[in-house]
Amino acid sequence: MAAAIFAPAVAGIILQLLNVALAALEARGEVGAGEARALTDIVESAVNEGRDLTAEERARLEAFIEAQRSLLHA
Amino acid sequence: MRSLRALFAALSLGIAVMVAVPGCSWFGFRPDLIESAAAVSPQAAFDAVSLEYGKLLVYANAYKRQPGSDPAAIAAIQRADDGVAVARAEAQAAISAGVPGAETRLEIVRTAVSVLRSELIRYGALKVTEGTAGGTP
Repeated sequence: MAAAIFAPAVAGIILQLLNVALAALEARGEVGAGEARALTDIVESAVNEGRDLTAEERARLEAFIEAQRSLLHA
Repeated sequence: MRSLRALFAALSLGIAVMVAVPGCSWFGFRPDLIESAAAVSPQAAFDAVSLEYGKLLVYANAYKRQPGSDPAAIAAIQRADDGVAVARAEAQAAISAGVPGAETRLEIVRTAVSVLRSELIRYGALKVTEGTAGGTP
């Protein structure tokens, strides 16, 4: 009974801890890793469908590259 | 309650591993995507190469932010990146214009990206096994 009551609260706390840990990792030097992962999924889907990226998808890819280049050359 | 404690312990362990191992499960390099994309179109191949290039830039920036990173190494990485940028611009122009020789331009981009990868490996910003076939950071 107690577990049923407290389980959602504990799960919420765990998720918050996970978010904090991920944010810490992002800040520690892996900025852009999440976007790289998302773009990999996008490119893979397009290739599997035998099509080019849409203009929107390509703009997102180019924005990612430009953001990384700006950081490198800043 | 016992299973709840086990769940909490497992999740805590997972978080600890993620925090302790930099780059753990972030993203994998996918040279296989470039080969598959080449069968779709030159533009698709160009985009797949661009994606891998972007991933290398993430590593370059991680290195740049490291305390004690070598300014000379950063300058060398920046020069290699400039080479990729020029090659990409020329390749995109050729692909967009649909002129013959786009494949050659694409090969030049791939070579420039390889140079950038080599520089990252040389200065310790990337491990040898990363950025190659099957390499998963």
